Amino acid sequence: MLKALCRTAALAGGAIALAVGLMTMYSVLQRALLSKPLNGDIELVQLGIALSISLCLGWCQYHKANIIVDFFTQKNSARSNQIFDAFGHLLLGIMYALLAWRTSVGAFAVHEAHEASIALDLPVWWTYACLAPGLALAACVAFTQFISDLKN
Amino acid sequence: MEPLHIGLLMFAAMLVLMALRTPIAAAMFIPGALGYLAMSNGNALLSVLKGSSVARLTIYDLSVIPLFLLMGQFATQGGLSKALFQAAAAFVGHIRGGLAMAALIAAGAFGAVCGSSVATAATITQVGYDEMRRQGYSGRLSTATLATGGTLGILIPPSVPLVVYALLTEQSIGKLFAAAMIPGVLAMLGYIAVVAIMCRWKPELAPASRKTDWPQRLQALIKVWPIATIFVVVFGGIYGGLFSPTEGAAIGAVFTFAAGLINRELNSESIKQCFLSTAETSAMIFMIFLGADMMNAALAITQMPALVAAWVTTLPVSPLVVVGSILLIYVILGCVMDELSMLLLTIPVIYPALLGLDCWGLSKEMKSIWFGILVLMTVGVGMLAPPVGLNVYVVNGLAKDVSMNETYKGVLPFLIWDAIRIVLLLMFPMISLWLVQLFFAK
Repeated sequence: MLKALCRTAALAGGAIALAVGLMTMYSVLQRALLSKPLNGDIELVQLGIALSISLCLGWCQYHKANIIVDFFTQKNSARSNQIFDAFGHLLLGIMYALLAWRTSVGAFAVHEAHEASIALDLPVWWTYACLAPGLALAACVAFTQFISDLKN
Repeated sequence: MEPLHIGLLMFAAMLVLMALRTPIAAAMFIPGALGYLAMSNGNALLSVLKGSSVARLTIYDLSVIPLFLLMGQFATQGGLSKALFQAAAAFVGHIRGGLAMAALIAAGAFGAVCGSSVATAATITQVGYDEMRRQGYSGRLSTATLATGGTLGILIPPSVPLVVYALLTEQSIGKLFAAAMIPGVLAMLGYIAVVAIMCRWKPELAPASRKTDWPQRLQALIKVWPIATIFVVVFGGIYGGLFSPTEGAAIGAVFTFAAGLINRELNSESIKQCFLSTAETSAMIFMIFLGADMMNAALAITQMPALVAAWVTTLPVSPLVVVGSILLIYVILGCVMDELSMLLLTIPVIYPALLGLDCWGLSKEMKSIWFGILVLMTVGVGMLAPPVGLNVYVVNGLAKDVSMNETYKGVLPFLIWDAIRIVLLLMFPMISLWLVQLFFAK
């Protein structure tokens, strides 16, 4: 279930990045041909990429794509490396969870303050709200991996 | 405890965690957060974390990374490399070692739309390896050439490590790309020369084959129009001042997507694959950024970077020796560590020291650009050198009939050219800076 969720989110993340590309191309064409760029295109790119990366985090963790240095532990037994990996997942999980928690708090704080972007008047808390769920999903994945590593 | 001691302790904890397989992002983040806690207090740490992930993302230039990755993926899955290899082979394939040269040319051209060396190595291996073996090329020469060709993916712009460097040092991505152009092409030409010399020295490495006639050559050449168009539009636009690198990356991604669709190479399955690979890599890079941000925020309060910078300027040796030593450290680090993490980890500490050195009387900006290209070249060495040459892993994963040791032996001659080139770039900064001054003259 977690896998399907992460995969779907990552596909959506990729699609959003492509959509950001299309939007930017449209804006550049408008600027070049009609000298009338899309208003606030930079803000949309930032928001889109924030959402895209957030959606990608879970899949990256699920696939264990976060880079490790395995040079010093190559000769260890598979079992001892599994213990190290469990520990690594735990630390990474703490990192995701801490960031998810603080980013949500940030979202509420910025919401209270009614901050908005300059060109489009988009609420700034949206960016925070985009990021927090992705970080939380990745935290869940990392903790699940930690537990299943321990069981083995 | 003295701030400096806390700084050193954080650094040591990070290195130990890394050696014990902790993912690099967490190995930087956790000691960084604890160090920050020790230097200030819990509230300060919590308030920094509240905005840190958003702050990293609202840097507009960062968007360039997922977009360039997407572009590289579409180019990889979209069959663009096949046409490149066939066209290059049609022109130089009849020379002794010509297919190896064709693979290098194709890799260089592919590198002009792809910013990752691993992706370039994989895609060129898929289109070139079987053909080289079928024509009797030695395994060692084939895999070594393909692994080396892969580094052209980052040496020739666009280049993901160079974007990371630009973000860390707040330099212009466009100028760094311009600076990488000539050194990148020099790298490719030198590699081709290495193949020629090796085949002359040991003719059994590679046979010569039949010459292709001109109509066939032209036919093959016409098929490379998508990559040529994308390159001209993206870089013409960036250097012509029509759009920013982020916009260039966006347009490039859309163009390569369209080219893949027109080639009928992209279907829903391969598009999904593109999305998933992009997702993995961009999330991974983003996490390393967050880890490095935490580490660097903590290091900054311990004053360690400033102390290192002050210490370096008092060294009784020429600044060039210092720069050379830094590069040597990079080569060694690059042998065991992933390249992006290496940059994220070291640049914030080393860069302030570099700015204090007087190298060739260059301005701060030019010095930063020049150093960026030097670092990029050493990163390229790290992709090939044992024990952990990522490109060698990738190529050997695809070419299973050649052993890893063979490939490592095969890349040695190419590494000699890398060393010569790095010294040349160190001694003659204009090789990198000339195009920057040409394109961005005020």
